[in-house]
Amino acid sequence: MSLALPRPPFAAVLIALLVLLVLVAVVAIGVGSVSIPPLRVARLLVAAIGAPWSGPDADPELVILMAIRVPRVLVAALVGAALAVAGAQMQGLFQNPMASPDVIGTSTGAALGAVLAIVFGLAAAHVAWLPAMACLGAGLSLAVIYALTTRRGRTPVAMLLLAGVALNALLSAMTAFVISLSWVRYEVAQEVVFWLMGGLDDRTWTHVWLAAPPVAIGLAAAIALARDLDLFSTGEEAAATLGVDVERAKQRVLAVAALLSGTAVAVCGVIAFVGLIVPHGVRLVVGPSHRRLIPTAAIAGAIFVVAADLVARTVLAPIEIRLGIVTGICGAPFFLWLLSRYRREVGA
Amino acid sequence: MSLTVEGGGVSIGGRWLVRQASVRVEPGRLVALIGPNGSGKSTLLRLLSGVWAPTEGTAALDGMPLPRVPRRVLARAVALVPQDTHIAFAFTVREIVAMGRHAHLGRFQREGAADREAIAQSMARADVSTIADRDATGLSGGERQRVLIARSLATEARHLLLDEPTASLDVAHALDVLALCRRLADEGHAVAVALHDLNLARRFATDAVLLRDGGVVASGPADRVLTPSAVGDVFGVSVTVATAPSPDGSSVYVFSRP
Repeated sequence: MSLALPRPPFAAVLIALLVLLVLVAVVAIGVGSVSIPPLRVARLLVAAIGAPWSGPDADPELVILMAIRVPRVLVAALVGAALAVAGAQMQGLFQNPMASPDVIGTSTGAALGAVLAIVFGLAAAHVAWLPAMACLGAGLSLAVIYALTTRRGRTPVAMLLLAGVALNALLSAMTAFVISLSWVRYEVAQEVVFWLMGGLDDRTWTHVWLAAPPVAIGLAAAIALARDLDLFSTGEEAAATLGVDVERAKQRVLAVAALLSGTAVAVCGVIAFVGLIVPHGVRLVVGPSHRRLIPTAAIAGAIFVVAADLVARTVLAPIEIRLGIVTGICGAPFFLWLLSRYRREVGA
Repeated sequence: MSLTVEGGGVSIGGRWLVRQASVRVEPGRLVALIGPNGSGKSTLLRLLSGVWAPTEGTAALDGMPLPRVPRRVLARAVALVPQDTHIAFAFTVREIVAMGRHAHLGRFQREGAADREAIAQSMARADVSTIADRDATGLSGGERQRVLIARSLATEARHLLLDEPTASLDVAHALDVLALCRRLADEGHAVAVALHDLNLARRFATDAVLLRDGGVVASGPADRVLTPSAVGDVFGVSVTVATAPSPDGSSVYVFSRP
């Protein structure tokens, strides 16, 4: 592969993906136990701008759309964008196309926080408790990984990777411990296990408003850090001589990736592979430059999760498959294909 | 306008990689850093580029200690071409060279006409214009080396540091790169090059620093530093001087194990 692939114009890719996102979202909003054709969905949504969609006079179809389907699709899009961007950042930071947002343990920390919220009954008390505890878990695990790997202001990425493996194992074991303690309470255990498989059932506007600000902030920050990540690709020393404050850039990238992946886990549970395959696929189309990669990955990630959620709730309807199972089934074969390709490239 | 290390040393884990070394890189000069493997050439270049802070002594740009020079200011004044040319992702050659403009651009600023001009000229000087749209990960080691040289030129830094730039180059490109370094020096750049090829060093360098075990053995004008006896002593070889039947009738060193 010495010849670069001819890359389509960036603006064309962005516009095409945005159109695709709108189409997929409209279809996803229309499909369900009460199916509404896409054109009618579009008309209802346009009409809904400024009109009341609750109360006795509201159109029942509009109520279904606005109270159930729209928030669910919005949360799916936010989660997809967050995970894809966090994945792109981790791959750039570790200079490895097979890194993902899970490698430094933030997602596992968020999961443990959420599981504790469920087990201790907080999640049942108020809908905001679970996301709040998940964010706390993500923040604490990030603080721990910093403290473990940073010496005199330097955080070597090899250390991060190894500490991440250990932290992931520890947090997973703690989560399993908490689950095993609550096993006698059947409903609680079931809720925890279901939640860990990731899913978007019963997501409301509360979840949209919880997720939107951190995802928006994270995205903006990721774009601001894009060129720093580009310069990492020829090594940290080279980046430093070209004017990047390497250690500060690393810390910022880690914090942003943790914010994004922690938020995603907080509102949707653990869904694997989105942060791995989306940035990788996008890189094949728009190239590795993070200024193009990050915005494109955000849109592509949103499309991927909205579509995956659509599959999850329609394939075996009325039974919903857990979202994390769908992304895993799509993602794992892709990862293996990637591995074989990578293996050829490195000649192993 | 000069880049200096005075009495500089680096100690890592109690071991001194370089001790009490003094080097001066000035406009109009091409300084060759010469010494066996592990003698401290790369360490000295890291000190000069500000990547490492000295454990002892000082490294300074125009008298200002490097740790106090803002990173972006330093990046516009001093460029380093590293020995390691690994590139992680499939950037095009042009994208890699454009990274040299990083310290000239604001966080959200796009390349302007001046940036594009600098990038194009740098690619032309390092002879990579024809491969500008190629995937840089698919290039040969020598091509990647020239791409990174082009990137260092794109920074428009007045001080250029090159860590064994000819290590993976063929004869023609090795000559091209050193001739380019010399031309840049003649145009007023300050250039320092870590080199293994003594004949290239004698031919192109104005000055030389001879290193052994992390210490400076001799420094000064190249022809006075790189004498057969000094070189033979540092490398532990016998040096025979042969007059080459080349157009300029210069002499070359021939090495043998004593």
